Amino acid sequence: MEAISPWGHGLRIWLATSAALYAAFWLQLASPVSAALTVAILAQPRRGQALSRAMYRFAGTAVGGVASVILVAAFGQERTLILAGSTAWLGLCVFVAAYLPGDRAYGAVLSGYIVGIVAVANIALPQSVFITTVERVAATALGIAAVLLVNIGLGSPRVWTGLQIRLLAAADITRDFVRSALRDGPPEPARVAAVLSTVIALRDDARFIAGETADGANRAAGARSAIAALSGMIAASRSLAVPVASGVIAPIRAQCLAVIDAGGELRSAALARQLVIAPREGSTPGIVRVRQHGLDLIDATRQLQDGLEALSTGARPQWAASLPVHRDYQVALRDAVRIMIGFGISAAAFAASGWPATSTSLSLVATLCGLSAVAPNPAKFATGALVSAPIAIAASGIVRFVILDGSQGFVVLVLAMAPVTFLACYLMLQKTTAATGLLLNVFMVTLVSPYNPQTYDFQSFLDTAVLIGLAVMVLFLTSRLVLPISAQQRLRWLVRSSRQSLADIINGHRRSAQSQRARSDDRLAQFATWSAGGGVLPDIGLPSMLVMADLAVAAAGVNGALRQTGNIEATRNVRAAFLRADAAALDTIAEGLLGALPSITASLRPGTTRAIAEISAAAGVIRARRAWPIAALAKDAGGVEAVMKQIRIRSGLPYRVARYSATALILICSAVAGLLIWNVYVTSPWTRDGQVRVQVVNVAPRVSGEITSVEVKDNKIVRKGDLLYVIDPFDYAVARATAVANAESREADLADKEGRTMRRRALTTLSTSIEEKQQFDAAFKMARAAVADALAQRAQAEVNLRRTEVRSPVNGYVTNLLLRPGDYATAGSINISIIDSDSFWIDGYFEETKLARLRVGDPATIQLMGYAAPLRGVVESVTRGISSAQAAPSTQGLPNIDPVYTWVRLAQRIPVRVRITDVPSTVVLAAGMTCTVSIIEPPELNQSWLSQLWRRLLGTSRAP
Amino acid sequence: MHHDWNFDGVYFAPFVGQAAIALVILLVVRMGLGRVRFGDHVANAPLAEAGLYICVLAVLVLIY
Repeated sequence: MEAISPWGHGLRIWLATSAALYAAFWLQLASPVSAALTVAILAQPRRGQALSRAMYRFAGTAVGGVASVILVAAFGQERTLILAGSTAWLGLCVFVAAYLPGDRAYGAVLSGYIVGIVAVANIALPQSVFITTVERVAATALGIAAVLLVNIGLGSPRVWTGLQIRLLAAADITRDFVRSALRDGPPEPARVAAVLSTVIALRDDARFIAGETADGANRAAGARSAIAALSGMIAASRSLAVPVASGVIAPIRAQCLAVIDAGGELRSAALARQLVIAPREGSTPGIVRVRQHGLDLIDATRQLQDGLEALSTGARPQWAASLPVHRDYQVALRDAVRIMIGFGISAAAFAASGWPATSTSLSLVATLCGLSAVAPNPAKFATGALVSAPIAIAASGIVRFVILDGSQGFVVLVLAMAPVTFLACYLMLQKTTAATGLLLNVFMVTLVSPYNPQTYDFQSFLDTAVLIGLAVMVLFLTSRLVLPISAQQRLRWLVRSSRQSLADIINGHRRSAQSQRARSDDRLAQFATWSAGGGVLPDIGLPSMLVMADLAVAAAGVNGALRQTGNIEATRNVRAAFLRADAAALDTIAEGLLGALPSITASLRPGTTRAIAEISAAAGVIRARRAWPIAALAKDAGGVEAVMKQIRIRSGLPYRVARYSATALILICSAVAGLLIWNVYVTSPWTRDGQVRVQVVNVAPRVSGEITSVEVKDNKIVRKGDLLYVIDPFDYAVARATAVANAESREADLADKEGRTMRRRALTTLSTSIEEKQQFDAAFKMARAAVADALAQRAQAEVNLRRTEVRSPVNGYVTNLLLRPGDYATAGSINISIIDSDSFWIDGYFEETKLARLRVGDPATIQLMGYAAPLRGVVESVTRGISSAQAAPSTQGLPNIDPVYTWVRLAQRIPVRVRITDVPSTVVLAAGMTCTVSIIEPPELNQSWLSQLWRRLLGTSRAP
Repeated sequence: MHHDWNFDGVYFAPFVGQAAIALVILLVVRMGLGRVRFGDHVANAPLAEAGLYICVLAVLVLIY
């Protein structure tokens, strides 16, 4: 496989991390760390691997998010049930993952541990689980976008080119195997297993290339077809290697060898087919088998060539093949139970400890358990975690508290993280330290914990470090102590499932020979791997596995062929013979079918021929059960370069220039398009953060008293002067009557006093004294003043009486009416609110960066949530001040300035008041409604269309 | 012009919907591109596809 430069890989991951962090800061995501973590986890060296993992990560996050919401919604009140449910869900996901190949397994496991992160972390705040889920999905999407963009833009190595090289090498090995099988007789089982393992190992990569390019699906189909063809070539050549007492075998072998040497070239293959089929007289089932498998070998060689071509050119291959895998139920179950026990015990232990950081720790345990479940070797992954944790803690401690230590520049942050990222990427590319590298990056991001603004709290760093240490210990102990699976056990399960599979096929389980062969090959390869890993079974070894596999494939072939011809009787006989392992009976059936061959209809002949061949093959396998000749195990992977030359892509200079110009043209268009999108969304004056505002009149009574009647209903319109409610008027009527009476009494007194005074004034000092005159005069004036006082009181009493009827001061709507007759109204305290229906306006909270592009008087459209028809308005004014969080005065009256500054500066929002000019008749305006406000920039008259376009693209401010 | 997407009470910025529609359009276009061997005619096919996506998105943003 081609080497991947650790520098290139490191650079890509570092750039993706930086981009994800910057975007997360800029978008003010609640958890920028999640975005960076996504990048760290998706840090796959090849494009297809990263794409595939990204896709399944997103799907897994979404499914896990939904599961968390459901779990919390169902057991919101009961923490134990949430923990138990999370554990069960995690186990289920791990179990399912054990049956899925590659990154699908990762997606399944992720949806399991997302529950650990979202549901368990929010166990104390069930109401916020939805928000957390949404934020999690947003952060994941951002991380994925960063990884994809960087992978695409920087041209990370592709999987399919590497696979092509490996496939060609495997084809060489297989061809050598076929040649030596045809020349030297049946190869020994170890060599068969070795070749099969080489071929099987290619399957994982074939999965990644489907999404890598536009024609990736064809390339993937080609790779699958080629892999299936290799497996078919191995099987057919092993059958042809079995000696047959007939002169026909030698020429057939020679034809096959010629086709192999010609690389499946079309004309020679067709010719060989003719020659293999041609002579018909003197047939035996053995000869039919040799002919049939000779054809299979030739067809497989052609299929290989076709598949390789499809892989390299992206054309659709002629043959389609699926590659099912073998998975052990026992292994899946134990993996699931192990994870459940590990997570369950730590959940119980942490919950019992009552430690506040429990939930964080549990999410870490869930993440690690999940990642270990999809690692090729969980025990090795646990060791990798154990090694990487202390390195990550030391490295991120240095980054955070020595290098950064209070600084707040984004460039400084990403530069400080770079060395650790590069180291992690280097380790990731080494086979033995891949898990260590991945986890080093994951732990480092967790520990540096970039946030906007960054905190430098050593205590929280230590807490996280301790949590990571605990989680790693839990993982390590679980992987070693809980239900460990020995190589021996795995071998035994493989044998058991091989037997089961053989029994199923003999009993009529419908499965194509190709599909059965893929499974059998997988089992054989796994058997060889675990045997090499130190497992030995006393009673059964690779030869027996091979016999079972061959029998199962032959039986699947027989069943399929006989089903096709509808020969029920033969099917029954074959089954009986299989169950007795009776080679002679199988031969008899085959001879019977062969004898009847000339008399059956032509359309059934190919199926019957196939059945005869497979029955004969099965008989041969049963007969030759323990006779494996020993052949030298030759490992020759040379000749790759020679085959590589077969495949050339068009690479002349003019063509290359054309391809680069086409790419450049598309990129220029997309750059303009990108600027346009940027302008529309980021710089053009619009905001989603708008609100409908209104003036509210708070009505309070001027007089106190019990309310006798309420004349309005809630939310009903009232006109200015309409009666709102009536306060019991009795007291005020009495007061007015008293005042009237008092006034009348004083007026009478005044009339009396006036008469007396006037009389005294007319008299001389002979009949009255000056003093007496003076006294009467004063009494008269006092009486007059008393009348004035009484009249004023009467007026007040009358007004008070009128004020028992409270009336609306404006046109508007009564709101939040809580008054009932019988309530006591206290003078001066508000008891009814009226929304002034003439006063609606819109406040748009615009980012300060957008203010340069709006003017007072600009028209605006206002889009309410829930209404399709927009409102229209005009910018009325811009608020001239908002409060500053920075300048709060301290005790001495000096401003208190926060020393912490943010990685990424965010624009403040300034309220802009928009007068509503036009409300569609269907819209019911209510204060507090959310709306989107877009300012319509009027075209500027004195500018050319070019400069206007330029201005639109760059989003620069308007001329004043 | 700017109208939020209502998904059962959860409102998304219009951009989210446009990005999704553009993705669907690109997937359809991609099938056709695979047929005409688009990858052979450009130097970096994924980069060119990303460029096409941005163009599709821009058209959606403008006409929406």
